[in-house]
Amino acid sequence: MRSWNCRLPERVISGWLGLALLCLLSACAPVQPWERGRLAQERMSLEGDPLLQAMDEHVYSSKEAASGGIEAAGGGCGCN
Amino acid sequence: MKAPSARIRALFASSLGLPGMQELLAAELPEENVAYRFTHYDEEPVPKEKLLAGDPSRYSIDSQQLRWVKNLDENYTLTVGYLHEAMSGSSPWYVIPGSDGQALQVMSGATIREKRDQLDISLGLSADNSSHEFGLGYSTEDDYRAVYGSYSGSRETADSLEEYSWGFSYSDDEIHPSDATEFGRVLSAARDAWSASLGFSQVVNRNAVIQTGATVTRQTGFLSDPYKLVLVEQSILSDQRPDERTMFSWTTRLRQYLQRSRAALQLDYRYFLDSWDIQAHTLDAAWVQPLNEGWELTSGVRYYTQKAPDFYAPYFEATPSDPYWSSDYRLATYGALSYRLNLQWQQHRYQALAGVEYYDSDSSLALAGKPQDTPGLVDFWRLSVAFTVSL
Repeated sequence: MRSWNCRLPERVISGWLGLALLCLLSACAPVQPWERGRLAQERMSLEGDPLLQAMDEHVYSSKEAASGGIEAAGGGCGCN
Repeated sequence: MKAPSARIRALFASSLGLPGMQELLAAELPEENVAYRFTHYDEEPVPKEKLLAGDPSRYSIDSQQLRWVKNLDENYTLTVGYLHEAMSGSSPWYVIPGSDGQALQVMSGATIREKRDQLDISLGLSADNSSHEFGLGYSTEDDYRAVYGSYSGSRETADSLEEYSWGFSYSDDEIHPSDATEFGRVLSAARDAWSASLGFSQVVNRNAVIQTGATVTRQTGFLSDPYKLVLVEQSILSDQRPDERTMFSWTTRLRQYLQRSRAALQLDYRYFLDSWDIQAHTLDAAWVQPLNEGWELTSGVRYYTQKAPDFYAPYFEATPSDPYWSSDYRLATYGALSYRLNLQWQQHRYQALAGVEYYDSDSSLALAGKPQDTPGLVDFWRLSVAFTVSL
């Protein structure tokens, strides 16, 4: 078991931020409309099935201290 | 970026003459549909060697979700969602040290039976390359009531390669604990939560799309759990947490199409930090593999780890200097691995799905933090079936 290293979150953040920015700011090849067939497939969806997403968020946030995604949160529950 | 967005569909429509494009569009579900999902959630009992008193059986919950999406005209979409849950079982109550120093769990004595109903209504507006959604929701159970509202918006760039999204929500919650007088619990209490989010997604190339975004949530009011107790020195006291909490989460998602296998690799990572000094990481990876005749298999693994706040301990040998304490296992330092399989079938207007998930949490799975003896950590199974009919 490693002891908590206070620099770890910053490293993780900067790593992921760097990766995201690298992807976003790199020369993303122009993708023409007729080249987006794969991106339009359901399995490429960023958000997935709404009922499954809602249930996942409900279950995990009831059992874990962390919650939240890219979308603003909904209502609470008295789950214990 | 919801895939496929209306904008992308419109761009597809301009390309219908190209080989394969008609088939691609025909394979997409129309936006109007009715969906139903049944989920059976079952927590494994507390191991005998970790249990001191109470019922070892834990929560079992049956959830039914219904969702109806109806386009009112070319611009407006109405979505109505309903959730009903029936739950029973026992819940971790407090922890005391055994003769050998091992933390032992005391569970609530009687089986709790409860129901919860939730209704959500939202109105979506799509115009040009932007969309807006206004939502209202109400959740009620025997001892809890939540009323909430939300607004979210998004805007795509002219070439549909990038999208900006934003959102706000507010929730007003009230709790009226059961058997409050008998157990010395607070009679009633309130809390509210504000949340704001920003997101950005980008088509990287014809095979990949990435999204990143952050959410800030501020909770104020009664944030303790009225059903949990804590051993502080020789006294059993009520769970007591700060009445303010600011949470920050940052999520990045990647979807990568794999040409050779026609599969999609889905990667999600979330970093979480709050003013209680809880830090958490969530990494989720899924492989979505199309099979023959409309079948699709999704296998996924999720890793979660969190570091406890200073006011958490299984029990307190000395009274903390700050008047906050909790032995709620959900605040402990731990890690969890979950594994899931979903089998999906889709034909014409119909879609069916069956899924299974196993969630295993343990102190030894924590990425970092001081190991804690937490007997209440939960393992659970989740089984689900779902049906969708396009209208």
